[in-house]
Formats: sequence, C-alpha cells, structure tokens
Amino acid sequence: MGHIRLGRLPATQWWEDVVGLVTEGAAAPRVAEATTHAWHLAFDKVRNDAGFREAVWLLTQLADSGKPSKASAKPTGGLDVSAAGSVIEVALALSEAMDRRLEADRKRSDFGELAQRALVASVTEHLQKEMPPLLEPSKEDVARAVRMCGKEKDFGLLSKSFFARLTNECLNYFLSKALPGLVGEKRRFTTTEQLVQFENAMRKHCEESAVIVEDFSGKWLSKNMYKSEGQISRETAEKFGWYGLEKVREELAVRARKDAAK
Amino acid sequence: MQPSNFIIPCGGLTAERTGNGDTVELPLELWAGKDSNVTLKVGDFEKGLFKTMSPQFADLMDIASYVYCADQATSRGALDVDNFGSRWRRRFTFRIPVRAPKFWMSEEVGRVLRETLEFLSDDTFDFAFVGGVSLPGMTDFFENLQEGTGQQIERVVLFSGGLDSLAGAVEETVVSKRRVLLVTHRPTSKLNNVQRNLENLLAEKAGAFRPMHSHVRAWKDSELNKNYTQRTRSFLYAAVGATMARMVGLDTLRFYENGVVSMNLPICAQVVGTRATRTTHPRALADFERLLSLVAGSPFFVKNDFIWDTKAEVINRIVKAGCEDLIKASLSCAHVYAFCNEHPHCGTCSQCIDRRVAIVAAEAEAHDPASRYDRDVFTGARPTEEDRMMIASYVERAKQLKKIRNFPELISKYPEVIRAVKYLPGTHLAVGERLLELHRKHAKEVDRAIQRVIVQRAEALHEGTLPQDCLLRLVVGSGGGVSAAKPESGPGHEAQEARWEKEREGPRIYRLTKNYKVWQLVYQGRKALLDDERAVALTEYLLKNPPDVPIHASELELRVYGGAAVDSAVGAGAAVGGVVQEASGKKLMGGLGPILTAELRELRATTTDMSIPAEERDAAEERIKVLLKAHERGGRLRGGAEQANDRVRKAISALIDTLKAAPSGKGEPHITLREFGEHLEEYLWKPSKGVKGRGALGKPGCYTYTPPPGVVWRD
Repeated sequence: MGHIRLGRLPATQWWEDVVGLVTEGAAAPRVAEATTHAWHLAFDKVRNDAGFREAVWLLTQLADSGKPSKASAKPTGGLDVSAAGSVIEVALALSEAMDRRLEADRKRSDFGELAQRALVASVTEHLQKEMPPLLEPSKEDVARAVRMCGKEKDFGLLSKSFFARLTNECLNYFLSKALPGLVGEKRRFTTTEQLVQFENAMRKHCEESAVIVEDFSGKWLSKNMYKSEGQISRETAEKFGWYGLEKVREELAVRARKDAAK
Repeated sequence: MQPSNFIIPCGGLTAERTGNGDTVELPLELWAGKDSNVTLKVGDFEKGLFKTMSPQFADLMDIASYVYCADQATSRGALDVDNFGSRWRRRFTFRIPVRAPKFWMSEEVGRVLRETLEFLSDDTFDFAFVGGVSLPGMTDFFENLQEGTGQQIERVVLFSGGLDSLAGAVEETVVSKRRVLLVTHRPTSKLNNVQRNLENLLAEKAGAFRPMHSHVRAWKDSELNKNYTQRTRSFLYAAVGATMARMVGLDTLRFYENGVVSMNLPICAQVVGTRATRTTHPRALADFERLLSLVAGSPFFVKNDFIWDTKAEVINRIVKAGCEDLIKASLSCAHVYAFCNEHPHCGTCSQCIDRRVAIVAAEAEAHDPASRYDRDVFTGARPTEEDRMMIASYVERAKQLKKIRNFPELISKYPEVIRAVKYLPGTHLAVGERLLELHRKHAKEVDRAIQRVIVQRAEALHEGTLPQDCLLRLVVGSGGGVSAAKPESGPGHEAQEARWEKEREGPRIYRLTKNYKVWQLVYQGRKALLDDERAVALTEYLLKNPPDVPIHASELELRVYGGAAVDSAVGAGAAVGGVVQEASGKKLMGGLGPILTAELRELRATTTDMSIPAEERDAAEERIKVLLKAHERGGRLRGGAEQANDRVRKAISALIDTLKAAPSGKGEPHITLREFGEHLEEYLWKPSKGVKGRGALGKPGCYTYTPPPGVVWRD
C-alpha cells in the first residue's frame, strides 16, 4: 500500500448506538437501519451533491449515448459509447465523463465518489452479464447490451443494482471506520473471515432491499423519456436518484423491524 | 469550526482578500533570508553539471515549494464523519511572484497545473501569478556544489531510500551499469546517517558506476507542521527532479514504485479519493509529463518501469542483483519522525505492513530482520483499533483480489482501477488483463506470506501464546475461540427499539412533508414516499390549508408557487433586473399590458428584496394577489384561468390515478398509497366533468379540501 489515511467514527450517541449494536451481535439488517439513522447529519450536507446528480443522470443517458447518431454529434455531458468495443470501454467512458464534469466544476466529494463507484460498478456488472459466456464479445454484443439499458426491464435491473451498490457503499463508508477494529478474540468478529461474512451479508441485504425500486425505475424511465422527448434533465434525474435512495432506506428500516420481530 | 479555505500570499505579496471565519490567510516566504518560513535547497550537486535554466524552471520550484508547504501547514478533517468527509478537501488560493508571469498566466499552463495538483491531492487550487521583482536565480536553490567526475549522466531517478527506489537504483547502476543521478528528499536530519549508509552500500555495489546523489531539503518552520498526509510531495519531487534532468540534458525523469502501490486500490470503503496516495498513479505521472513538457518547452517524460511489478518482485530484483544486504539499510516507514536506530520500522503503518509482507513472500527475511520492527507485523499485538483496522482491511483486500476472475469483475469490485487504463501503454483489453494479473499476484503473495509465518509459528499458534490481536490470530483465530457477541441483545438493541417506538406514528397521524427532492407521507400512521412532482405540492397546500371558500386553480398555483407564478407571467428575468420596455411587451407578456407588467415587476422585486422591511414586502405580496385576481377575470394570466385550471386538474387527477394504481415494488398493491389516493378522490374538491367525485361548489375550476372528522394534516 502507499500511504493510506483511515478514519474513525465520532463518539456521538448515534454512532455509539451503531457500534453498540455490532458489538452485541446484531445482524446486518439492524446495523444497516441504525447506520442510516446515524448518517442523517452527513446526508444533510450532501443535498445538491454534483457527483451524485451526475452519476444518476449518466445512468439515464447510457442507452442514448450508445446510439450511432451520437457518434458525430458532440454528446451531452461528454458520454459517447457508440464506438465502444468492450464493456471495459463503456466503463472507461462513464468514469471519464464523470471525472471531466466534476473536475471542470471542481465539485468533488466523498459522496460523489461513492456514486461514481456505484455507477461504474453496476453498469460494468450489468453489461458483463449480457455478454456471451464463452466467446469474446463483439462490438455488436456491447452495443446491443447498451441499447437494452434504455428498455424498462433492463433499466429497472440496472437501477436496482445501482441503488443497491450505492446504499452498500454508503453503509460501508461509515461502518468501515469501525468494523475492522472489532476483529479479534473476544470481539464481535473473531477473525477477518467473520468480518467478510458480515460484509457479504450486508451487501446481500442491500441487494434484496433494492428490489423495491426495480419496477418503479423502469416505469420512471419510460414515463420521463416520453415527457421530456428523450432529453431527461439532470434535475429530473436527481429527483429520481434521491427517491430511489430514500426508497431503499425505507425498505432497510422495514426489514430491520421484521428482523427484530423474529 | 475548522477552516478549509486558505489564502496563501507568497514571496512578500499581500493577499487580495482577507481571511474571515472560514478562510485563513497563511503567508509563505521562500526568499526572505532569516525571515523565510520555507526552505528549498538542492545539495551536493556537481558543479560542472550545473547550468542556468529558463526562468520557468525556477518558478516551478518556487511554486512546488509553496504548494508542498501549504499542504503540510493546513489541516484536513479528522473525525469528519458528520460532514461526509467534506473537510478532507481544502481550497487554496495562491498568489505567487514569478519570473515568467506571461507563461504561468496562460490558460493552458494554469489549467494543467491545477488539474495535476487537484488529481494528486483532492484539493482545489487557484493561482494568481504576479511579475516578481529581483527574484533569485537557479543558483540560489543550490548549496554545497561538489567537484565531480565530469561524467555524463544517463538517468535521473528519484530515490526515497525505500525498497522500490532502491531496487530501481540497483537496476540502473548495478545491473544496467548506467551513470545515474539519484535525487533524494531529506525530510529530517534524523535520517541523514541512514541515507548516507545506504548510499555508501550502493556505491560499493555499483563500483565504477557509483551513482551521484543530490539531496533536497524542503523544510518549513515548525509551527507550520500541521498535516502529515503530504499528497503533493511527489509534485515537489517531480519539479526538482525534472529541473535537474533538463540541466544534465535529459528529457526523462524516473520514479520506481511497484504497480500495486502505484494503483493503491482502496483497502476498504472509507478510502475514497486521495485517502489513498496517488504519488505514482499512471494518471499523476501523465499529468506531470504534460506540465513539465510545457515548462521545458519540449516533450518531457516521467516513467515508472516497475508498474507491472508487485513489491515481492521488486525485492527479488534486489536479491537477484546480489544486493540483498542493502535491504536492511533501506527505510519504508511512514513515521520518520519517530525513527530510532534500533527499530527503524514501526510495524503498524501501511508502508511497514506492505514491506514486511513482501519480504516474507519473497523469502528474504534473512535480509530484513523482524527485530528491526518495533512491532512484528505478523505476530505483534495490535491493541489499538486503528492498527487492527489497517491490518484487517489489508488482509481482506488481498482475499477479495484473489477471487476475481476477470477485469470487468475487478472494475466491479474496485471501480477506481478504470482511471489508470488509458494512461498505460497497450490496448484497453491488454492493459486490463495486466492490471488483473498484477493484483492477483499481489493477493497470492499476501497469502503465501501469511501461510509461511503460520507454518513458522505453528507451535505458538497451537499453544495460544501469540498475542490475541496479532495478524495471525486475526486471520486464523484461536481454533476454538468464540466471538464475544451476545445473542443479539443488550443496550444497543434496546436503544434501537426505543427509538422505533418513539418514531412510530399513531393510526390517526397524517403528514405530508417535503424532504430533499422527495415527499414523505404518513397516512393513518403508515409511511410512504412520493415523487417530487408539482401535483404533490399543490395537494399538500390544500390538505394543510383547506380554504373555506374554494379557490381557483390560478390562485392555488400562486399560493403554492408564489413569485414563481408571477415570474412566469411577466417573463423570465423580470423578478431581478429583467426589462421589457417596448410596446411588444404586451405581446411577450401574454396580454398583461406594459403598465401592469411594469407594476407587477416592481412589486415582485420588492417581495424578494430583504433590505426592505417585512411589512412593505407583505404589502407588495398582497397587492400582487389583488392585481392578478382582478386580471384573471379577463382570462389573460399566463394563458388564462382556463388553462391554469386545465393544468392543475390534470396534474392532480394524474396524481390520484397514480396513487390508486401504485404497486409496492414487491409485486403487490401499495396499500398506503392507494388508500391515500382514494382519500384525495373522496375529499379533495376538484372540478369534475361528469365523473365520480364531488364537483366544485359554485365556481368552475376551484379547489378545496374537506377532510372527514379526525383528519388533520401536519408537517
């Protein structure tokens, strides 16, 4: 590793409650809910975050940016994957589009970085699943998979993955300031493997919770593409993003209460 | 509150604006003799090789010194959780006197300089360059010029004294037998003897090709030591190294760092942006090249030939070259200020962990005794949370990397990796494959190292005599040790349940609240979310402010959107400074007439001018309502009352339809939203056109809300 700077959670009541739950052996659902309660101050600070807005907007633009008609015209927001020959090139284009925008506006933030991670990771994973399993994917395979991201069903799946990842990234952003320190004998996680298992459980919990936005997302895209004649604005995309995130957070709360009631 | 904005007037210049609460002014001075608080000196360079360079190079060294010093003199956020890490990023505004102002003030140079520093550090940089007066020349940066051999230098290499740069120096001088200039930073005089010792050992190995060493002192006054993250250090190094490379007639500067550290993928989720250094990230080196080429006025290159090596492979290079006895003399620890001869390595920082794991993986322990670590990386206790976090995250990352099967999967797990692809030679696919292979090799090395030590310490593990917090025990456990976790009960659980109880809304609670971009609904105590649509805002107004007398749609819009409705009516920009004075104003404003338009515009400006007393603003607001009300009879407000009614009716009807058909997202109807939709349909009075529901009382296009008993909508 090069130099790495790690931080810790503050000793405020909310965060101590989170760590308390972990120490007491709480499962992922309850820890997730407590974390989403504790992070409210942090999230108040990232309303109007440029990176989050850009990531959600790029998600809605993906399918359109793959159309050949965009190749010669200057693409909106700098995203053009019409000539992408591989999933890697799509991922690169997305990452560069975000970097270009945020560096030009000089509005980098941690939340924006998490959103960028979620965007690149979810699109890469989604497209990779659509590639032929045994053969080297062709440019047409990539183009088709990108185009399908503009259809209700695929956009729903992609959004679900995006919101699941973003929620998980945000949870881990905070929890990783405490959980690895709870590894060791007579602590919550006796070994690093137990910590990994907990993190896997958390990721799965986020994936299952995000199912709640799949259907809504697909329908949202169809409705808003129609309303805006294919030109979804950043503002509209941002509203979708916050709605999706809140919806998953709400579901985390529902599932935590159900888990407690077992 | 901890400031994050810094104004840095340099070289005796004054700041263009003064600091206030959140902004701090920090003057820095490099050339004021004993009044200087920053020092940059290059020592032990050969007299015969020294040349006067173009003023841009001297300026570059000044700029890099000031940037590096400001980086260390200003704090980043520590426990910055509740700000979502916003304090990590600082804003710097420099004002620097330079010898070549026209060059530095060009748009391209300014942009490249900013982009280079901003990628490297995550901070924001603004520069104002001013023509300097009597600024020293290049000579003044140099001290202790040496009589030399007069031999031509073939390579200029940055040499930190760590394992990677040592391997690079060995490759160049011992293996390839090149004449090399090594440029070394001296962070503290404490390390002078250590560095001298390493240099002497290297010289012995290199024989006739013993390298030239030049030492850089980049110091500042002690009260400016506030931050040790030093993300801009490599920029200073690159500036000095490039200057010396050009001085000796070369167009390339070399860093040597293993690829895993160059990429520095996050070890856990909190490591965002430059929490992980980008010292030799492929993009950082490409940025250096761009800037240095501009400064040099010709192409200049910055290379790292170890980009595809792991650290263990780097160590193997040293061993293969017969220089293994130099390993012990190298220094990797980040905690240089805590250095002591007996334990030059702390054993807890990320650099020590990386070093020791690679040493064991390369089976080179004999050349790097564990006793030289204050804490054994594998078997030393780690009582602090931070130490356990570092080691546990490091091991976990290696385990994850080991499982990755292809490059897209690596991108999915570590999306940051994609940033390096276009800065590495080869097709994207080929580069991706190499990056995957690099990280897989690293993961296997970490595995191999841990397994070696497990075998070596098997008895101690079995007997349970190793400290319970050491790396081996964190990975392996104690073979039967149980977790301290109780079966999901305790004060934390109780506190959470108490909070849930408090948050529970009773069955007679009704709320509709605007959060950021989302509406929060509580209907009969049950929660749901609503999209941020116009119709919800209009509905919310009616629910919370049910008019005694139904109000027209245009009035409803005015009450909900207030000035925005007027702005729309009188045209964009009319609220503040907009002017439409010509006779065609009547046509543009949709028939309001120029006199009415002008009056409305003036009144609107009054309502938004906070310097005007509140009573006057309220009066202006009332006057607007009166004027618009009077005008609406003529149907000429924003296309007419009829169109306003049409808009509002459609919006609210669409909302009700959407609510009544809302799915839960789990393939079932959303009971709460549907019941809310039915409630609105039943109790929200809106104009009906022969459909079910109550019609407006009296006037067409009018709305109100008459809730059933016991229903009161709150915030």
